[in-house]
Amino acid sequence: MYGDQATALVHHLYKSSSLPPYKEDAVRQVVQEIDQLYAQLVQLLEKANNDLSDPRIGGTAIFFHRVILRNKRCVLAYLLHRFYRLRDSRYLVMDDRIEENLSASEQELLTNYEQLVATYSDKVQIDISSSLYPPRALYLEVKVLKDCGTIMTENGPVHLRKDTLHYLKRTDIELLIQQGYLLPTS
Amino acid sequence: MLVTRSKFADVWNMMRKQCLRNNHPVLVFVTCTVDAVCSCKILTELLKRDFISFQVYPVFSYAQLKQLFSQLDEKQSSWEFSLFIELGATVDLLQLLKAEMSKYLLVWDTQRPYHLRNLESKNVFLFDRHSQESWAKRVKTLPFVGLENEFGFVRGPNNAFMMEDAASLLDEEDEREEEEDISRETDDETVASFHWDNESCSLWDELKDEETNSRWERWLPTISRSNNTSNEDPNNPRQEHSIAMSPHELEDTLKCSKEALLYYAKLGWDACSSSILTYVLARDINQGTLSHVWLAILGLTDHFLDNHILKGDYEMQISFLKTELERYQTTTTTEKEEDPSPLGMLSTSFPSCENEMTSSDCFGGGGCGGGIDDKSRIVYSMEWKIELMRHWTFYESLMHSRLFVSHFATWKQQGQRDVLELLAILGIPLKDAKQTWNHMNVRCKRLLQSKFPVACRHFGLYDICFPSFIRVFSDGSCFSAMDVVLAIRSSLLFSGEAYMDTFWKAYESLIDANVLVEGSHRAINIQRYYMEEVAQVANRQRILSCKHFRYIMWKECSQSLKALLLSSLYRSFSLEIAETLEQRNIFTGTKPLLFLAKISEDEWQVWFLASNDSRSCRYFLVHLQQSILDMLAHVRVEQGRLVYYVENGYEKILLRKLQSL
Repeated sequence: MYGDQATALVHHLYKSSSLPPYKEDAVRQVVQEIDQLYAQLVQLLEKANNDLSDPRIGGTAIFFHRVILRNKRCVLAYLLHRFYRLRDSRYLVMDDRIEENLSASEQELLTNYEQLVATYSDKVQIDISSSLYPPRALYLEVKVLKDCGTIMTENGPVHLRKDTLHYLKRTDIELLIQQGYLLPTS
Repeated sequence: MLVTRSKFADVWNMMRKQCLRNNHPVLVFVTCTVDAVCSCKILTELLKRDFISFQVYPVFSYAQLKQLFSQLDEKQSSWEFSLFIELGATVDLLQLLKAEMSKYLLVWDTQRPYHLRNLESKNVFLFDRHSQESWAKRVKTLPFVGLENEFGFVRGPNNAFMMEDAASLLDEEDEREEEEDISRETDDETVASFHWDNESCSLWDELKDEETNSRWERWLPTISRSNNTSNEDPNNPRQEHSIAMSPHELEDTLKCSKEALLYYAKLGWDACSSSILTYVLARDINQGTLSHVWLAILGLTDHFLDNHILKGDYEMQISFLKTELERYQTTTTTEKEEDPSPLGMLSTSFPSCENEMTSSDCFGGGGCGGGIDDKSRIVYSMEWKIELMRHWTFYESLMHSRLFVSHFATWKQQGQRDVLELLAILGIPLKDAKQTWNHMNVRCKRLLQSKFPVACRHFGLYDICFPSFIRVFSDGSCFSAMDVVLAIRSSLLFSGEAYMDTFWKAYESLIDANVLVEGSHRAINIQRYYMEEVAQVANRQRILSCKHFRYIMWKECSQSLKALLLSSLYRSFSLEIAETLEQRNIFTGTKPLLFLAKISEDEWQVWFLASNDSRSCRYFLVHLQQSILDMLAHVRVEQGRLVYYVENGYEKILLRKLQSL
């Protein structure tokens, strides 16, 4: 049925909590459907010499037009929501797997976006990628999710081995938390 | 050195000052038991309050601990103090870890006996419940230091002679114990008297037994000097003295050897759980909170469920915690809560406490995240010994509870009929009994409340209750301490490489109620599995009996059984088996029970369960340890000589050695 592919595309994103792999085939199929519908619409209008007074022709033309618009909205919604999720993930945890799930154009978009953010941050002299809320405590209890090796802290070197718990100064580990190496437990 | 009750705060403050002055982190090494996880939580919260950075390392074996330490040395981590929770007391920590003399090791461990070198060392602090005065008396009776290795193995007298002589010793002991069998239970009960300064566990009294002494003396001339010099330590002046020996000195040394052997053969547990000790520490430094009391309750319940503690001691500690609870909850306690009504025990939910004052300040307020829920309450309650009743159906929980499985043999048709008869006596329709507890008819619950203990007496079950606590959450749901412990334990079950995750899941259970609920579902499955395995052991008569001991051999372990045995749940599992065997009279007598399970292609797990603390068990343990010592190259020792991992093929040699007693 017309519009099924586009619905499936949006539904696929809706069901996933993180950023799922980019469905290039599905997007291509929706675009093909749009092209096909457009061709049919043009053909219909040519046949009727642009006369839509006949309700059968007028109804069919409106139907094709609506389906084209709906498919277009679905694809754009899919792309936009993927971008939102991608943008949010930059400030939380950037997983390696997320990078694998991006399309080439999305990767380019992300790079450009980061450049824009960096330029703006330089201009206003504020790191806008850091948390907007002031820290509640100087120290944080964190669990090590991935081996980080030895880091230098104010109190000396600390070896962050996977599956251990550490209570460290927030400033020493903030970046590692952002990168997804550490998980705050409290 | 031993840190007695009055010195807890001093040692902690000394550590606190040093860490704050030098900005060094504290290393925390913790084993995978509920008691250890709770103690770890209390201690880390204390460290957080002083802004002392710490690093927590879950530890599953001494081999892993050694490896961790060497890695820390390689990375040149700067630390001065490390805390050992539920490990370390029974091994020579300094020798095992090759720690520098500038480091201090603080140990909370309930396993006994203490390694004598730990007691002597000025770098190892063993937190103990005894008072300074009573410990001062005990020090005089401690055995000679230096004859043991880092795991507490003492090279005994000439093995061949020892076997013969000990066999005759055991024969006589067995005969004597059969006579004493009837009076033993009452004796055990009278010994159980908890006090902060409990004098009941004295090994040394038995050493004064002249009859036993005369038997040991027969060994003396046969012991070669080489046996003693094999363990010589150049740093020990007392031992140097023993090497240059006259006949009289030789005799003295051999007596020391005997004392050391008997001392290290008394494997056991202290009456006080680690979490109680850590709670007392928190209280002494005025940092105790209600969430700490809850953690102490969980640790104590874990200790109790594993039979590490006598009933009398348990009740004394419960009353201590009850008093502590009143200190924190006096402003919030309503009349309803003060009354430990059985209805509270029977409920899965309490009335909503929206209109009541809550103890949010007490529950780890100030960002310490002490408890699962900031608005929950703890209520004293008399609980039945029926596991997970509130999260299951009454019928199923009866069928799978340790008490009823061992008493009724519920895997048999007769046992199932007995349970049905019990329900009939209670007047509870089977349909209601098979309803989830939450949805069970209130009338049936009231019937249970009034009739259940009486009905159990018809079947010879008298001791079905124990004092405990329940925690009521802000949404009205409640968990008993026993159920929480079982839920956390179920998180500790692991298979394959994911053993680290199990620890963190257990740790998370203390914070996250959702994880706890998941754990309770897993615990139900484990209870079911326990019964299946117990039924197999009891029905197929898998127990083999030798002259002085019995043993169970699992040559082929399923994946589930391997997971169970490799986790800390193996102990509760073996207790369930032992209790069933005892109740079903499958094997009478007081012989120790040895478990052997092939947990991998290369290794057998060997551990033993003494039916009681009789001399025959002690002597058997001496022989087990001597046999292990002979095979030490092929054996991995874990958990302070409680579990041995024997190379495949050598289990037969071990059995042969033990059978030749």
